Amino acid sequence: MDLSATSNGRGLIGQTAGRTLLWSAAAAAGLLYPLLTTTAKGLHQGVLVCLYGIVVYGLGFLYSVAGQLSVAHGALWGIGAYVTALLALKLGVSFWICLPIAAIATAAFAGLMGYPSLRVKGHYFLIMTFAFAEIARTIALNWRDVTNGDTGLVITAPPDRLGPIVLNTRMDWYYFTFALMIIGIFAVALLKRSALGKRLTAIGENDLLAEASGVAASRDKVIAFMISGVYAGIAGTCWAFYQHYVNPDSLGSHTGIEFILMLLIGGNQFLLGPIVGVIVAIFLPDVFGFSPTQNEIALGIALVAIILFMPQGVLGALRLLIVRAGIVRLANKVGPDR
Amino acid sequence: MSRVLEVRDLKKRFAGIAAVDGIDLSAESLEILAIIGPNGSGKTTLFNLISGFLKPTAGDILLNGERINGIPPHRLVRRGLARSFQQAMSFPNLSVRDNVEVPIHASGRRHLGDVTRILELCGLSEQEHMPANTLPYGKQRNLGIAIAMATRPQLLLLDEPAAGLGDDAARDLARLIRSIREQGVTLVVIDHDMPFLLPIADRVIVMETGKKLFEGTAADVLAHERVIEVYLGHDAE
Repeated sequence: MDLSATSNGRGLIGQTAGRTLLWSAAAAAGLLYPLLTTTAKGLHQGVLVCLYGIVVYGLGFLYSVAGQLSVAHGALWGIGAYVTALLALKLGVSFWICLPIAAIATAAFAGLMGYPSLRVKGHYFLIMTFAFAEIARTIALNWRDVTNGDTGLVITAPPDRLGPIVLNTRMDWYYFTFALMIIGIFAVALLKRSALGKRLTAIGENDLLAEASGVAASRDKVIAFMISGVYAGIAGTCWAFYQHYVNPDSLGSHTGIEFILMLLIGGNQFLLGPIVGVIVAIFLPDVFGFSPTQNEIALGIALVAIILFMPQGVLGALRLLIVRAGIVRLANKVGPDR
Repeated sequence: MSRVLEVRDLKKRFAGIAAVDGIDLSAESLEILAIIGPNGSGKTTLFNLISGFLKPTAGDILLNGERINGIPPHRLVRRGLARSFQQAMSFPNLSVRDNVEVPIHASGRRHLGDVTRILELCGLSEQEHMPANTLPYGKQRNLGIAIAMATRPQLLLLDEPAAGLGDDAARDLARLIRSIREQGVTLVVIDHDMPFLLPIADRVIVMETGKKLFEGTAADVLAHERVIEVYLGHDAE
């Protein structure tokens, strides 16, 4: 690999230009997608890609900087959805007010989950977040007076108009959630470059040395978990209003594991990785004609294959192919974003 | 001279085994205090206690006269206590410069001007853009010291800084340690390598099975029969 291409000014400019081109193409494809898809299902899948994309970018932030994978995001997303549904149904709160309240609520829940969980690492952390996700699902299922149990909560009214923003059709929802996802991606990129991002990266690299360097590792990891939770909460709010319906099936460890799958399939080292993973997970059943059960099996097999053969995900494997094909300069231009 | 570090009757037991057993020591301002002893004598446990990575079973640790028992490592860094580790530790995928910037981001300081000076001091200027995991071993050890220096320490604990170094690299390290002292830093250094450590030490403490066996100058240590027996074995005589 031609490392010089990234260690001098011209290489960096080339790398930046390559990434800009790639991102422009991705953004253009995203903007044009509703015009190219001909079915309501296709548009619905587009909205799901954006909604899941928001959660998975938040999860990816936690993973890339603090080195932690969380199943609890399946709960945080659901908490955002339930908080929204309850506020809208019981108190008649507008979608636009629900959005920040749900974000704050999920950040708070993430803080509560994160404080004890982040004192442990690796598999132990994953198991604790799994437990939290299941606790959240069990509460949603059994606290019938509030959550309506397995019947769930139905939101009938669409969001109010906010200036020029109207969210009535799938097309409206697509562009709204697409914009939210783009904002989320930029926010992740900015966060990684911030002092907090650098401290978190240090924790992910070597938490013992980070502590010895003055980094309050436990506190910063909880903050990262809370930020990551905000992403899940915002997506959950949109999900509740978009689907008009929230029930315990939409949260829990199962959902959390799906988010992790999406993240790992795409390849978290790449800024485009999470969205690629989400697209694969959403469109895989259609491409191969899988039933939901077959799709889950396929995703499980895909995860094992990725761990064994493509540890940097689909994008990492593509990059490797490009390198092996000898197109080194192109590979450098679309290299990992970490 | 003011007393920077004082340790009184410090004890640490693991499941009934005393790793540190009633240690008393002190380090005066701008002193280089050496701690030597065979493997398992409790040196690194002592460092872990002083630097907040372990909580003592009993005893007191005072930094500038203030008791610091149980204060977590990141808070001790803000009080001026930094350390390096027995293994060459770094943030492996970050550049050398980014490694040294971590303590600055942790402290909330915005001025990154110190970094260039620290890299120069530790002989890492030419490698500043290299990923830490590509550095030669000796440079990786220096990077650990550079990261600790970026915390602006008043007291620096170095845990076996010369481990794995050749003679030339150990001589360079000895020069670096003296230069750090000239920057106004008090040092406590653990090492096995007596030819490296004794010439730079103002005072030496010898540990054995968690206890202090002897304290004195380097010359005193070399003349002490029991120390030679414990540390070097009977054959040394």
